[in-house]
Amino acid sequence: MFKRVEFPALRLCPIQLMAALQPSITIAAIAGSLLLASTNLQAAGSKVDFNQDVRPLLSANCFHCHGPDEKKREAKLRLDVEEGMFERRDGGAIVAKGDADASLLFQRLATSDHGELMPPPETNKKLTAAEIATIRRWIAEGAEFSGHWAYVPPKRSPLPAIRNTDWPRNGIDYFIAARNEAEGLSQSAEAGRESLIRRVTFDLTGLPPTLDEIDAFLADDSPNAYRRLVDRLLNSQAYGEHMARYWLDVVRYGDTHGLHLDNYREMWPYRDWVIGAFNDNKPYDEFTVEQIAGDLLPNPTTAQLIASGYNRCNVTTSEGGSIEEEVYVRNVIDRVETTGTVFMGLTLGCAVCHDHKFDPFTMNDFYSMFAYFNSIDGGALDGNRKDHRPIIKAPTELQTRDLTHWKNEIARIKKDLAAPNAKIDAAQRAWEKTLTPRPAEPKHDWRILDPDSFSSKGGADLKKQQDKSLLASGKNPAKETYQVEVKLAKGRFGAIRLEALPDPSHTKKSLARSSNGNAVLTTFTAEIMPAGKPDQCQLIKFTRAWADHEQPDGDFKIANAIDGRNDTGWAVEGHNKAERREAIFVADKPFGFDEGSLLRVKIGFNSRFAQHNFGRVRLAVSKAADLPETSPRIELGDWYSMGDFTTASYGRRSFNRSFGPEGKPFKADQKFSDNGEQRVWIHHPEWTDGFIHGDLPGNESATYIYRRIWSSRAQKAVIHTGSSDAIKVFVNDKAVLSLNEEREVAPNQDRIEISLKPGDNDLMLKVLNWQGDAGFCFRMESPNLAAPNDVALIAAIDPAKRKPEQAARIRNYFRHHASIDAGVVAQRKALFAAQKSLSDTERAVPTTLIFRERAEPREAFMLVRGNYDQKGDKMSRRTPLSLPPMAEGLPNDRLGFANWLLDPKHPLTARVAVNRFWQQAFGVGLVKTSEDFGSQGSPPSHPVLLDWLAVDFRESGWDIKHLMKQIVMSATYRQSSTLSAEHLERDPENRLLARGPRFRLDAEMLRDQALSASGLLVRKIGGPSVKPPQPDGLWKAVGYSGSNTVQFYADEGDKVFRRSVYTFWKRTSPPPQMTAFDAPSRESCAPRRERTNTPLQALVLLNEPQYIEAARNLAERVLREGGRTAESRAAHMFRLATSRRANKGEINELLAVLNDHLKEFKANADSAKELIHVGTGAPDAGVPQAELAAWTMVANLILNLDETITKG
Amino acid sequence: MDLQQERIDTITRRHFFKRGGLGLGVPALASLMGGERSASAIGTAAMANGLPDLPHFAPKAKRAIYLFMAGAPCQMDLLDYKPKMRDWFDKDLPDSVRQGQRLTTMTSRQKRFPIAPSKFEFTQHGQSGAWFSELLPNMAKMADDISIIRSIHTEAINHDPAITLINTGSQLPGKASLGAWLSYGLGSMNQNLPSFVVLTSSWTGRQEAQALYNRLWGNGFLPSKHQGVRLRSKGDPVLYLSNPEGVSSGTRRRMLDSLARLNQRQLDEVGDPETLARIAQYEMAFRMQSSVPELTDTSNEPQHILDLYGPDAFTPGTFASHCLLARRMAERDVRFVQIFHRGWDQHGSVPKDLPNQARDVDRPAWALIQDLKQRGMLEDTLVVWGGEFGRTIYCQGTLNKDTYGRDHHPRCFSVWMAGGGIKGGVVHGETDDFSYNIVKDPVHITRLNATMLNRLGINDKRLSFRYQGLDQRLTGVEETPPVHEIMT
Repeated sequence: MFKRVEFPALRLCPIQLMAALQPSITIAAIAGSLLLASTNLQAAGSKVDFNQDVRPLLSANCFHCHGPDEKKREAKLRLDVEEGMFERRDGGAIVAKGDADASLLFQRLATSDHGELMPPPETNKKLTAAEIATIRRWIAEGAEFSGHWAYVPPKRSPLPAIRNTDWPRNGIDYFIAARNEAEGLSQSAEAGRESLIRRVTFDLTGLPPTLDEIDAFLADDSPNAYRRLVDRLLNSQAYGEHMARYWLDVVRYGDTHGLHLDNYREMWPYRDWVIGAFNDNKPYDEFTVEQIAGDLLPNPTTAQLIASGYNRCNVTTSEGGSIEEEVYVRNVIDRVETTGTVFMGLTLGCAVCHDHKFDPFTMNDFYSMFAYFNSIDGGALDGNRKDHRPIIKAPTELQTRDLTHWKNEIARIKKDLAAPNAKIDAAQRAWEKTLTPRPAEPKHDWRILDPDSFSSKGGADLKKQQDKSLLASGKNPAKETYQVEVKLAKGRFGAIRLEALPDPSHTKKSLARSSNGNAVLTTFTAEIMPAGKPDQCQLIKFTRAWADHEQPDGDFKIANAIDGRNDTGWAVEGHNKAERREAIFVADKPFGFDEGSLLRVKIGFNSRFAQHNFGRVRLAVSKAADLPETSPRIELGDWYSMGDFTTASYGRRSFNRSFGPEGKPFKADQKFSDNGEQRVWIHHPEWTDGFIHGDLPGNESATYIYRRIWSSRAQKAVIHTGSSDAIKVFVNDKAVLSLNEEREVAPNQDRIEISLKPGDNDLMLKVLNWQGDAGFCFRMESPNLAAPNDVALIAAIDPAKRKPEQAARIRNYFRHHASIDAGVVAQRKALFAAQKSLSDTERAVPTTLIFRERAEPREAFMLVRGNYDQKGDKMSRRTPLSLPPMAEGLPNDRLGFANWLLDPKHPLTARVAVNRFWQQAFGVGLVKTSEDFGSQGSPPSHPVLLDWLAVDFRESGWDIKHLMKQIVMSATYRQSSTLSAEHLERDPENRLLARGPRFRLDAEMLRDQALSASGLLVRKIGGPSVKPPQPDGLWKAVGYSGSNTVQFYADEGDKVFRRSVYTFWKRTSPPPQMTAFDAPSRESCAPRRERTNTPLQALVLLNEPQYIEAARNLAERVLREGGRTAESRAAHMFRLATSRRANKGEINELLAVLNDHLKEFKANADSAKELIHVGTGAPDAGVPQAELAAWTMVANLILNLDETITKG
Repeated sequence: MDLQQERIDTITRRHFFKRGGLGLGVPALASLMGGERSASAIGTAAMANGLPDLPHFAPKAKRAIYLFMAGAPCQMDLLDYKPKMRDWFDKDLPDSVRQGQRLTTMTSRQKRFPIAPSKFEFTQHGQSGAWFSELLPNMAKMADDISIIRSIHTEAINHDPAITLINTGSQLPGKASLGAWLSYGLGSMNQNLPSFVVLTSSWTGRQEAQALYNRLWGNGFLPSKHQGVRLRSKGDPVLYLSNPEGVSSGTRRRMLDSLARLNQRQLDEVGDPETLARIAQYEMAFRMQSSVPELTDTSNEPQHILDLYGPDAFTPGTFASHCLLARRMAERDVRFVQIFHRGWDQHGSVPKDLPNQARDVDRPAWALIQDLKQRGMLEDTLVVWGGEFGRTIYCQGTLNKDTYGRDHHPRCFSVWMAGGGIKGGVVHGETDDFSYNIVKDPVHITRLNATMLNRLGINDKRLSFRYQGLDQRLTGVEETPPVHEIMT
């Protein structure tokens, strides 16, 4: 049972009634601002409007439990839809049209019974008496319900009828006037021309007008003067810079990643794209599509790819310990939320965890949108690198020209190097004769011999093993000779192989039982006789011998074993290497008999090294009489490189960290990934030894460089390396150099002696570059260097019979690597220089983050309460159900999504865009909460005007300049901003626009104005961000020690006087001159800035060195061009800053303070000198210091005037 | 009181009468200036005067000082004594304890999770018998002044999200910080200093320290005047505080007088109350030019006070000097001071680095409490000590008799609170033998924040700001009751 209560509003006094009529703007007003008084947006005398007045109350107080969120819906009652509102239950109606007292809604709001009262007292929500009165009146007036205004597509209404038909200049004015006429507020007169040109110049370019521009406008008395002014401004380059600045707040553009290390991110080509887009007046629909889905357009241009970087502006991290999946989900959620806010004014963030409480968006809607944005072709962790993939190179025009130039130059030099030249060809032929091809690898058919009898002369115990080897045990004599006899089958043989095998019973499990495991073979002899005919025994003469390894520290070559001497021998380095060894002995002629043979082998160990006897041996014979190459030959293979692997996360620790290919066998086609990007081996046949190769990529990077080295035998060689910066050198996976240094690359920085084994050897260099140019240099020093075998093989072919590719190969090899002709060497140097220039230019080309779709879309899931590790249902892509569906025929991807936003039926996109542009000019949007068009946002002050503008904007072809022109051409905009007492009382926030806009300039405009008025401003469009000076230590105080933005280094010269839109934005420590004036950190989407008024702002404008330097330059300027008298100079200065002429009183005030300052500075010359030397530039030496200092103070005063820092 | 204040009062009073002609009554204008009730207060319009419905109830503390240990201190080496771990040296953390808890990718690939017992001795102190590590000999002496909570927990596992979460209520950037909320809600108590001041101290432990971010003291969606003002130890204490070289205070005063007169003309002409506020702000800036140096100049502190804080009190930028400054700010009614001390991220070398970190803060924190107490200010000053999460009992990296490291651990950590509205000698909450899971009285970090707000007279659920369609709160929408057990 509801308790019937008397309606309190009946007893309200008139003032309370006035208050009761005030709708929700009070709720939405920013409390804490200086202007606390609220605006009555409801037109006097009109009916209560559901959307305007009632829905906000219900949204704030009721929807939480009786709204769109099905899971939290109490009593199954839903008040945000018509069915729920007029539902009948308990014999009554929730709302009975026309009868508030019979409406359950009203009863429950108005009851004094705490058990019945809604909202329940424990929620801390409470409607005021006035608010309840509004609801009562709405019901009494018939309870007209309408859907939330923002979800109904805008319609163009006819212009309203107004009484003062002389006033309007365009459509906008009719709507403004209609409302004010109803309110009884009169419009203000047009602002003075000086005010007007200042206001519109700021609003369209972000800069103050110059005096010439002001004079020209004042002198132009044609009716089109203002229109011409506006057209000029719209066509200036400054327009794009100014418009871009607002957009960059919205999309949260920054020059660093924003999280953890907050390293540099190279993204400015996107910023320049935005500037260009506004200057080119790119229609808002294209502007939208290219940013959301530029990469999905057919054959996207570079510019369209750069635009897709919109999706990459979110903050990212690579914090150690981060869980990739968690970060990935966060990144995507950020993209979806931001896109919702930027283009639709929606606050989708709520739907990450639960159905939206206030607006008709479900979790399902959210994760269906998520599915459009989740398929990025790149990793979630940024690797702390500036070019977090996917990226694109975005060369400037100059760079494009340079790239072409150097490519052509390289092609030209290569062609020259290959040109016919008889002299060089002759030298080549002479050189060719010195080349010998590597012999073919022998094809041995080794037959293991099974000894028939064997003995040890020294008295050791020999036992035959399963593998037919003989293992010695027992006595370990100082000297030894093994004798082995074995029957051979019939046939002829060419060579005998002796294997020395390691055994666990040996010292160090190596080859012998000697004290150190080493052995020395002094003699190897063999006799052969026909089977059963010992009398026909013959000695086999060995003429050649080969071993797979020879101990390198003395004369221990294998040939010593067949020289017939006991004092020379073959040592195997068994004390260092417990490896199987083999030696091959080739006879001078085939041996063996038709009837079969008996072979007797004697293996002698009679050197001065006691007990250096192989402990386990095995013999084999082969028919072939070939040996592997025996000359000491080294061939160097082509270079390969792989990189760069980012090391930023590890800093100097990366020196000991293995990336991709390190420690793995080389395979030319093997791929590795770094930070989600693929890395492949790049072949560099052109890299010439002895030259610096400065074309390695990247900063904070590791690059691997590989070549195969073939050696005919175990031998030593010397290599020389150079690197920038740190280097590790591995030979056959063993580190032979580890140098963790910072240095510039030069030839021959390191000398390393390396050991090569027979056959292929792996040489791997790891070059780690910390910053600056990366590069390396290599040279080998060895008398045994030979041309690669393929070249030597060609050399053996008669030049006339060589195939063209063979001729080219050998000619190229000779000219690129071997020729010592002075002309050729010079050309090689020129080629290297051109290659370096090309690579330098390539590296200077900025990269910028873009969006690129994976080949296979990544699956999306509902995430329970937004948790990355609690996957729910699989989600497919679709747009939110409460908005119109995507048109037939659109692709169901981001491109389709972007086009869906632009559908004429879409209720939000055009309204949200128009509102933000309106906000730029008037300080407040028609919808004050420009970031929220949902039911919790503030309702529009002029809903019909908003719709009219939205439709007009769309129908104009989304023409932004048209819209801006419409706004600034309106009489509304042109009004004087002087406040009357009535304004202050009735509309302090100027929502009704009975006067012109007046508010403090944004941070960037303030600084740009000071630079502009003083003549310091450098007008250059675009390019890398710049760093004007800031106080020491700001970055250091917060930065991670390993970050590349932990130290702030100010730029110098022109860079410090660029427009503020180019100021480097470190997101965890943004420029203090900007944040003091409400600039956002750019960590998250900021569609509007607060506008505060604080003492810290005063300190910036009074004391910040650039403002002081600007003041001094302004002083110098007026001393130069402001006439001869102090009056004329003061007047000139005042006008440069405020755009208007000072009056007599103001001039007198300025002259008085000037005189006081002059006295002070004349009395204190040092102070004057100090003041005028503040800043980066030198003062004008031609002006007396005290005078300049005094004028500087006057300029400082003028730059601090309320009027100067305000757009009025 | 002081001459500058009289001057501004006179100027503004005169201006009001002049403004009368515009039909704007003094009370009306006064209300425009932020709800002040008398015209004489207009000069202080620079102050944010807080919300009209605040405090929600009688506050126990007027102001707060938050000693923030950035990087996450090892709770089991400092305040959470785990004697049983001695027998567990190098044994694996049982799965029954870990319970599949997610780990950072710094240790998730470790083959083992060997227990690293604390190397440090613990002793009991005070009436509660609270355990303190030998690294905190001074804090141990004030066991009866503080409440230790050993059962704080969070959900973020890495520094950036975690420190952002505990300071702003969200892991992602964009939200208002604790101090900004206090400034917004309660306003300022003084005319010459910011209401929220931040200090970032030097440290002597691991030098590769986690970053801080301006967002930790940022205003987020609140008006930017509520952002923390970082007081620097080198250069101007407040950015751009000093006049430019060659400009004396007298020269500046002369210029500001002229500026005020010209701005007054503008006010007369255009009638924008913002102009009046601007005049006031310039005066406040001028006052700060003397009040801030006066604040940071500790040369007239008596020797026994400097002795109290220890030898580092003389070195600008140290935690000790910052604790002394915090006390001076408390005396001057700065609402909220937050000191960030970095270097607590001991992934390795705990035995080497942690003693240095502890030495940095142990004595100064104790001294601060004593100093406040002897001035009778501890009873209305809330002091909090703690970091953003805890560390693991299992070792990261090398474990031997001499060294061990610890990874991030969000499931439990220890903080202490003292002063305004906080009981002394209480130990609240308990963790298991491994300091891994909470076994009694868990306290989520949002409840820690709710407790702080509560002691300052704020119902955390009623302090909200509408942004992006939501009533944003520091402590979110879930129930976050303050920790009554430690409250007086």
